[in-house]
Amino acid sequence: MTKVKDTLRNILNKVELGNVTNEDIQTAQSILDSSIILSPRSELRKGKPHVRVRRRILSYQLPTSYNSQSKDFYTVQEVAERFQVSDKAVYKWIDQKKILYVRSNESSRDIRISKAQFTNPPSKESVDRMEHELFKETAQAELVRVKDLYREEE
Amino acid sequence: MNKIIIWDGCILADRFIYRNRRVREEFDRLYDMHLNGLVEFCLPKAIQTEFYGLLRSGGIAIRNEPDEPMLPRAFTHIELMKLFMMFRGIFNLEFLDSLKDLTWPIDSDKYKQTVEGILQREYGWSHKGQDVIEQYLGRSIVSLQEEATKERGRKKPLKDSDDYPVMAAAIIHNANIIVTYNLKDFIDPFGKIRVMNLESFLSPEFQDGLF
Repeated sequence: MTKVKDTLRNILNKVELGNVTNEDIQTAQSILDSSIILSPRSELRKGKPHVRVRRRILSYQLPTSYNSQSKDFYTVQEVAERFQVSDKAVYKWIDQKKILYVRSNESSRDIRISKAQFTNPPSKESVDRMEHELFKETAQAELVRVKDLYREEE
Repeated sequence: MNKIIIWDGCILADRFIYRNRRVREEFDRLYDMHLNGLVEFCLPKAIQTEFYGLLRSGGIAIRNEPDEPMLPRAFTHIELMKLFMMFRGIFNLEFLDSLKDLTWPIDSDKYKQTVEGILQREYGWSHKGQDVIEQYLGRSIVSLQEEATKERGRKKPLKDSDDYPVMAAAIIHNANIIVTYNLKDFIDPFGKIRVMNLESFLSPEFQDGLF
């Protein structure tokens, strides 16, 4: 039975990778035509082997000064708030290794995201200052010829 | 891989000239994500040059008091570089600095010729990037337009040649999204480049699928 399962698993892997051959299909067909009945709860009935992948743990060692209120770390929700995206988007970035994170210990689900990894854009105040300098006391600015940029304006 | 997002010059104008609060917030948010490698917010040289030329040549009118007349103002290179340096993550400072000594005709739309020359040199294309677009489409723009006019209800695509450089740059940069108000001026029959206005871009449904 184990050998049959392994054969089917191999074939499923090949299907996933897109390099399944006619011979594989025939083998799978002959197994399925045989009297082997798979349990409905079997992973082989789900179309794709379920592999439990743990999130990559980058470090378990937090600074000794770390505590859950540390100002050096964001929560997932705080990152979502900073970039105005959903929590789901933040987890995607974590999965894509665009954002590094730490856990308070190996078994903890508590994720903390170091603020040090982020580059900060210019502050709103410094942009305001620069724009004020550029436009002086300008009350209003507009394009001289609107169609220079807004082509669909008639 | 990050999706490459291009903002057209008209949205940039909303941010920097009309100083629309919402557009500014959205620009700042995208810029922050871009700086941190979470999206690729791209301003091709085609857009930077047009924006620079417009500001240098007095394409902006300002007034200091609400009852004053609007008067054109040509910004100096030094003034503009301060602005671009603030957002050096997306503006190409070296390239923009190289535009300093060019002659920028004041108070006329002749600056567009200067822009056209710069882009032709930078990208090596001709006719404002028409050749790049046609090579991508595998057909002429005229034939695409003729086909569109034959089909009822379809708008004529790529109507304005002044927007060819943005479309051509989007093709060259492998952009996924162009955010613009000039929807008629862009088309990608292959569906690789999505063209949308800012409202659609900011819709929660679209934002959810962006990352």
